Amino acid sequence: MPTLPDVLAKLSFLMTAPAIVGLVITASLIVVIRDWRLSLAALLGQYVLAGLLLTRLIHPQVALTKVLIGDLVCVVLYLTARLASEGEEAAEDSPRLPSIRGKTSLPDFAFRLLAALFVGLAAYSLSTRYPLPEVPADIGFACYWLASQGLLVLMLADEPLKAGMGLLTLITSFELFYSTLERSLSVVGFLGIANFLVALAIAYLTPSTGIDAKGER
Amino acid sequence: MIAGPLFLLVLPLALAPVVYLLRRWRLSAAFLASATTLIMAGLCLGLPLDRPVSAFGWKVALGEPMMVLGREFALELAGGLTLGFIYLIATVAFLFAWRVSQGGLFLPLGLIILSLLSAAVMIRHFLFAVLFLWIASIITVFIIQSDRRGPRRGTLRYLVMVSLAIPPLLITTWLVDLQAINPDNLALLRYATVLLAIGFAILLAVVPFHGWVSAVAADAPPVVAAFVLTAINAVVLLLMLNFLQSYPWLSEDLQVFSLLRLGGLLMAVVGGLLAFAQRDFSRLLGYAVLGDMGCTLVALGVASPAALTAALLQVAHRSVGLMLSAMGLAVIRHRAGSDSFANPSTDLRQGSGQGSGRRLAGVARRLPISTAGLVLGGLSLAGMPLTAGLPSRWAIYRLYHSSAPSLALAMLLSGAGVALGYLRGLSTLLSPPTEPGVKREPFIASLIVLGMIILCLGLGLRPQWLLLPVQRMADSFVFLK
Repeated sequence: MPTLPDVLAKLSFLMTAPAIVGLVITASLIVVIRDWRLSLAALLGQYVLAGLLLTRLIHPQVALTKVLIGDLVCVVLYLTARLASEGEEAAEDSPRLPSIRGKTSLPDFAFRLLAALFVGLAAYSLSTRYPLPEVPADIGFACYWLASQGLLVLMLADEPLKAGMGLLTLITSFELFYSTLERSLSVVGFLGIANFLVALAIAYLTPSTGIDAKGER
Repeated sequence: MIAGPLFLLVLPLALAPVVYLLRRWRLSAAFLASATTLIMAGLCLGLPLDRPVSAFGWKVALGEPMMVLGREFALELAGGLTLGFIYLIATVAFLFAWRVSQGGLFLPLGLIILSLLSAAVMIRHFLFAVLFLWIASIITVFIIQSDRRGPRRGTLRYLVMVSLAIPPLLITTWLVDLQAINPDNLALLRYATVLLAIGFAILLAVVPFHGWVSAVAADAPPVVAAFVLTAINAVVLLLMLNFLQSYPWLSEDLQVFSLLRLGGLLMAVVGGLLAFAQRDFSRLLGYAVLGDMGCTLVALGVASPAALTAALLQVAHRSVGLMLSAMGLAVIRHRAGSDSFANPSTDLRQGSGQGSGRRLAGVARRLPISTAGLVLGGLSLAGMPLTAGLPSRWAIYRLYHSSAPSLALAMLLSGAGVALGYLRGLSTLLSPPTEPGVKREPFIASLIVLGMIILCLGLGLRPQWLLLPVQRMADSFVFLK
């Protein structure tokens, strides 16, 4: 049975440019796509790619723990979104609440794509002008990109689930940078707990939409 | 012998599940939660820090440090007094929640939050204090949202803002550690100061990061909002003072105090102006607190022991006024189903169609004690005479009356804006009723509100009641001497 170093050795080709490109794409997808399934898949991919990048900076076991926490976060959000989506289907006649099943119209898609590109350009410019200390330039750029796209999602989101994904993207960006600065296992543990609690808080806020739309499920 | 921190960390945490299981029996849950916090307050305020004493059959050394996973927890004088005060306020809030429910999770999660805040106060390392504070704040989201359905902007905004404040504070600790290794690199200190300012500005709701205060006040059950704005704000302020105490390069930098003054002034002005423009009591409460918190920062900006005493006294007095106003508001919202005092014609013109302004008309006749509590608490937040808010405000005005009278005038006008906002609301409450009467106020809740009214007036007339502990706490911060 292959060990973790064996697996990482096989995946080493992913730990440089492909992982950075992947993070750029997944973070942008969360901004551009309104559908919760695709957004959540992008968030999951983001956690895996960030974990792969982290293996270059910290112990692979710690990076793997962060990926596992990310997976747990995605499971919590998936169950929540499914429940809320079913609630919305049962309450089609109450359109007053922001929907998590929103379809992306062409103008909306174009606006979000342009916004993501502009903000991304600003992130690129910042990463070259003010490179982050202690991390390689490519990872510094990834941190800037994730943070900027996370902030953009927070600004554009009209419902808690999407805003939560933006917040989690922002926290991932911070962890990618901070993991190299502070390697204490207790800090890793605290950040993991905080990530999971943020996901639970988002889950607590989200089902309200579907339930409230029809009064009671 | 038991180290004091163990009690403060474990007891509320251990009793939280029991309180959760008892939540359907509100009397038992509220009694257990408030008895726990009362014991904690007694421990923090009553026991000496320098020697062990016997309590509840155990020998407790409150000031004895304790190691958990290699991290040291210790209760110091300032931390003990802050926690004692927070626990006292929590006792009143939990007792009140027995009669006027503030959400099923308020009592158990309130205990967990208090345990985490105690950890944040007692842990020696700033990095971990910030992490404990973050986790406590995330849990706060559940009690702000409460049992109510529907998306709440205030809850989400609070979660986002707190989460945005944490990274700069965590990076600050790394920069400070790095500077200790490279003492010649002063740029690191500059970056640390900027990041620290951003982090604390968000947590203390300095303009333009102030939106979450009114949003929380509007969305949370009133007593929960008061609990959050009292407990978390006090801990944030204590962490800031501890940081200033630990790093002389920061407390010797006069620009830091100028920033505090400027941020506080902005908060006071914006709070006062927006409070005057509000048409519901919950948002008015939020802006009143914002203005008052601004005055605290303005006082800290003087950078003198007397100013620190005035600022700490104001934090204590604000908690009383805030909790009183929130309790009055909770009863009114509970009985009348609304807290909006918008002019009925405006209300209808704007399409709300609910006539909530009319619903509050005449409420003062049915709920006199709650109305008195709501308005008196608000006037205390405005620093009006005869209320708890005046003595500390007066001390702050005196700090500035000769050096910067325009600052004192701005704070005075801010208080006037808040007071006028409350008086506008009062005129609706006193107007003739236009709808079928609301039920009379709940007896026990009214008794608690009445007790808080007496306390608020008492502190206004005899501020020296709290002056001694506040003075002791201010004396423990030596960085201003």
